[in-house]
Amino acid sequence: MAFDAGRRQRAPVRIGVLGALLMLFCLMVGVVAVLLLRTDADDSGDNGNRIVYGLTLEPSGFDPHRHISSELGIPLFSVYDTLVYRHPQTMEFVPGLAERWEMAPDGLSWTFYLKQGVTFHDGTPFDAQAVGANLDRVMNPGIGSAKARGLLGPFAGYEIVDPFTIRLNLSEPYAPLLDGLSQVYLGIASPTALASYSNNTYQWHQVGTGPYRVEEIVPGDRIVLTRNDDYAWGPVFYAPVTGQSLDMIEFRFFTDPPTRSLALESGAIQMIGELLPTDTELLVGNPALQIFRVPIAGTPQQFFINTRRSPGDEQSFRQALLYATNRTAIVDAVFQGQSPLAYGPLTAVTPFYDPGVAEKYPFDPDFARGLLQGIGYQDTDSDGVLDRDGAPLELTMVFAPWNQMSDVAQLIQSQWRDIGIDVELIQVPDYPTLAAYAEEGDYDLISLYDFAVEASILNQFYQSDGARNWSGVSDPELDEWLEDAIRTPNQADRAQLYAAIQDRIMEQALVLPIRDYVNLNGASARLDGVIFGAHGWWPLLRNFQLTS
Amino acid sequence: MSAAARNPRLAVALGVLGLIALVSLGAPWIASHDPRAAEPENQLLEPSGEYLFGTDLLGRDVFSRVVYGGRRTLGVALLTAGITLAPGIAIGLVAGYAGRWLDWALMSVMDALLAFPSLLLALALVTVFGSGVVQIAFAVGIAGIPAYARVVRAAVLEARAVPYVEAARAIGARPAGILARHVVPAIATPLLSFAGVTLSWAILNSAALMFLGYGGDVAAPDWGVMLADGRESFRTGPWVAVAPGVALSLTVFAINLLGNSVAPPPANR
Amino acid sequence: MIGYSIKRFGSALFVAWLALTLAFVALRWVPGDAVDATLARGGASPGEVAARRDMLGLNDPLWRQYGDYVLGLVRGDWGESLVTEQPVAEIIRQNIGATSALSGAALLIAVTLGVALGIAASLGRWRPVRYGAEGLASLALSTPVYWTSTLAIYVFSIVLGILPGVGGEGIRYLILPAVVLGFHTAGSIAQVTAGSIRNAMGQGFVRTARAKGLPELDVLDHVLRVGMLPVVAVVALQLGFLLSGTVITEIIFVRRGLGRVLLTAIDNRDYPVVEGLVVLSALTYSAINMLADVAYRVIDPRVRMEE
Repeated sequence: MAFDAGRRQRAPVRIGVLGALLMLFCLMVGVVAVLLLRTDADDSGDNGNRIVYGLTLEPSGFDPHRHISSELGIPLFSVYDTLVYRHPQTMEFVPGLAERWEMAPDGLSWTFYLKQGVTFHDGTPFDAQAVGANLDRVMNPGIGSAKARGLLGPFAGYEIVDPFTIRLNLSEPYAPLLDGLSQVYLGIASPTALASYSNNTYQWHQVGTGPYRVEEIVPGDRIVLTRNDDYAWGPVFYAPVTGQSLDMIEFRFFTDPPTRSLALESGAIQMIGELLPTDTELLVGNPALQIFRVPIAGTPQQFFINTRRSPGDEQSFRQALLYATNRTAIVDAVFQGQSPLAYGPLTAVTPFYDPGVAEKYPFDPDFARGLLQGIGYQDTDSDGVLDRDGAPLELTMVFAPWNQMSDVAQLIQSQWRDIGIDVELIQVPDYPTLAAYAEEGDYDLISLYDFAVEASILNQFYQSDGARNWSGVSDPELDEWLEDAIRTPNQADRAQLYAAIQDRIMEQALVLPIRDYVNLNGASARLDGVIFGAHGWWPLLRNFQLTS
Repeated sequence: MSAAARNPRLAVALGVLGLIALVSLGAPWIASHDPRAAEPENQLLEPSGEYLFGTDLLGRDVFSRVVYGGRRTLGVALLTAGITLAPGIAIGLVAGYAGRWLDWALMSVMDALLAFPSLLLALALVTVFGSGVVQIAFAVGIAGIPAYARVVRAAVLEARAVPYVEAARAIGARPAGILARHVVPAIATPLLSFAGVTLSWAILNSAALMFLGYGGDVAAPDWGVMLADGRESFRTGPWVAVAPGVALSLTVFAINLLGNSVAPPPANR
Repeated sequence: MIGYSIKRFGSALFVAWLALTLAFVALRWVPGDAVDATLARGGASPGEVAARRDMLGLNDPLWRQYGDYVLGLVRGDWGESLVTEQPVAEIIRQNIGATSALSGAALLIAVTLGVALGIAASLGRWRPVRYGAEGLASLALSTPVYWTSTLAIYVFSIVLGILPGVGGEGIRYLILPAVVLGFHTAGSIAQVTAGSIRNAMGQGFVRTARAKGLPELDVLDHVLRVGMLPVVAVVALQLGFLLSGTVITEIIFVRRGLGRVLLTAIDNRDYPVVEGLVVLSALTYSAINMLADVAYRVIDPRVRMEE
């Protein structure tokens, strides 16, 4: 090929394919150059104390009355006030929109005395009617509440006693009521706003009484909050506004885990949760950043053991699995030691957690071998896998890829291989597929966990008719205790019941707990006053300060 | 003189592919460790004499996993490519040569499939087929058919316009004969080079599906999966991803070189 | 010409219908539905779950669900999301701009880079240039998009700190994702370009042209004209690949867009959203192919319009 200038001049003047490509290239270079040279308008504007906060998943909906994602509470816990709050340090209930409350002696009604002088972001005054409108909405089957309605338990209606007093009636006593009322899912929304939008479109126009108001919600893109300067009715743990309080918070969705630390380091965001454990060491050494390890109440990251089929139907077998699992090795390797080991069906920060479970199943492979031998497992054909009646000991373990579960499962597989158990790992892509496996019952272990400060979260997992009783347990005594524990208002009685429940669950080895869930949050070192509510996921944005 | 000696591209391509095949077949003798043995106390060790390519998050030897990983990665890729190429060529040839309504009908179906983003089509298929390596090969392979069929058809249309083919049609030669004698040789080159693209695409998409959890056995060594896993520790242990990444790129490079080497060499001035 | 246009338009609609039907069947085949993915996940009681299914029409016989949806489309009603209950048309409107910008910019980069690499790999005068170009194309084809995206963010917004990486708006935020996506798309364009140029170089007309003493640049122009034909086909095909690519780049670079919407919708078994996007994708695809046909005729006068 000769690109000979002399000959080129003799050619007729025409553009040709090469010329067209060259022009395309020049055009592109030009466009890029222009873009690089011009500065974006949003870089220069002064928005006061503004931060970008990274959310880690895109909730399938943003209406706390209707939707379930814990993630929606990260912005919205500061948009709404709840009737009561849990104090983040003591976990005790403190006044929210209700300045005090009392339970009737029979436990069938609760009276809430509301604060006066509270107004919603749209100017609507707050009163008992407003609370009633919210309760009506949550109980309306038409809105399809995924969480809020369940939190109200045996709710049977309300009476407005006077403009600032409301009584909630229950069909049976329900101890977890206050906890439900302290969650963002039962945040009190402006009745005017609720009436102005449809049950569906309200989620893009939310109005509460909280310290921040919704500026805009753009699905799939961002949520923007600005400070509510009229706010003067916050719970005791809310700090007063200073010159360093946040004026504006923009939330964006960082669903890809390795990107989160990159975004934090590059300064694109000032705060984010759910960092990769492997990234934390790197971030700890960065003076511009700080790490917050927030333990989450509820169930630990865990596997249910299927008691509906062999060999999971034998208690000694299930116990052997627990003895055979080296949780310390798993937590050190996969979670880089950033989480506490889990020992029982509740995490250690959950009220009514029974520390007694911690001693139950130390890592002891020899003891596990003994238990298995005791029920007839031996390696008769010397292939390294135990067998019984000619059938090798093979288990199926089903999990979704959330929270490094695949690494956890692979380590368990390797640990159990050492004592002669062959595990087949089945990773499913999403919750519907996981639930389909649970429905079919084709598993020996399956992973599922959920978060709550209320120990009554155990009911859905361990009652014989629980919605997600994936271990398939059916124990009348356990059923009764779980029922009693949500009816009994007395704290000491509940503590006793939950101790018995946790003991029974672990005695029967229904669950293989791995680690207490810890949310690894990263923040810019400029952020002060970073604190989270009692439920662990939701930051108290009111207390955040941006130093310079 | 053999073909390889006359054609250095072919020699390089065959050399690299042969080496990769040899390593994959001889994995049990070459690997220094059990590719599945997790030793969490040895996690993320730098490359050393003991661990040539270092260790991963679970303390497994990356070298041994790379050596073994080729088996699964390349096996799936070859199966996938086969599933794509055979129907792809057949549909493309028939549509391109027959023309008229048959062309229209076949291409409409192909276009309808092409309207799905390829990875999502594979994703939908694998959810229907279920988890497993062979299922992945089928899902990715089928998802690749329409693109390949379209390229074949385009090449056939071009070949058909060549005067001697038109002449052959005009004198009433049998379609099968024309296809075999004139059209297929004429389209061989673009098809082979696109076959390289297809194969690498198969490797990547099957790796993506395995990463998403459709591969069945998550602990099995596989270059694509290793590469995906390595991203989570790419700053604390970049070596976890480097070795499988290089292996994957080298393979694709050799496949493409092979596709190109069968083309006539650039004409000399 | 008018008859041809009508025919093309008809087949575009037919293709869209076929794609929609395939999507409809595939989605119902996949385990779980939108209620499983949202309401049942929260541990709602079976009664509530069943009531919700009724309300959303998921308990209707399949033929009725299909009929309702297709009739709705004919009337211009794209339905609404089963999860957010936003109208699908609105979701598309909100996100199409961002995705078009990303895939348009990526395609521009891909064509330029891909053709340049292809020419270098086939016509480059030094062997290192040819092998280098081939190596780069292979790298583009063999590295997953999620890897290059992560590396690009790390290198350009942390180590070098010259480009914003994630989570912003504005055109500067478009550069990295578009370059990454364009780079990967360029790989196959380069392969096909190189292959077909080599093919064209071996054909008789090159010898004839040279024998006639035509300037080399004109010979090159001839070669490229013929060599570009399969490239046009591949570029048109890249639309599907680009959409797959935008799914990953939109998520990693935290951009809004249709790819992201699609992935969320599949996760949530949000049938109307997935189906709507498939119809949109099919129509776009048909439109691009019509353009490709025109491009064919412009580049190569031998290809006649098929009446």
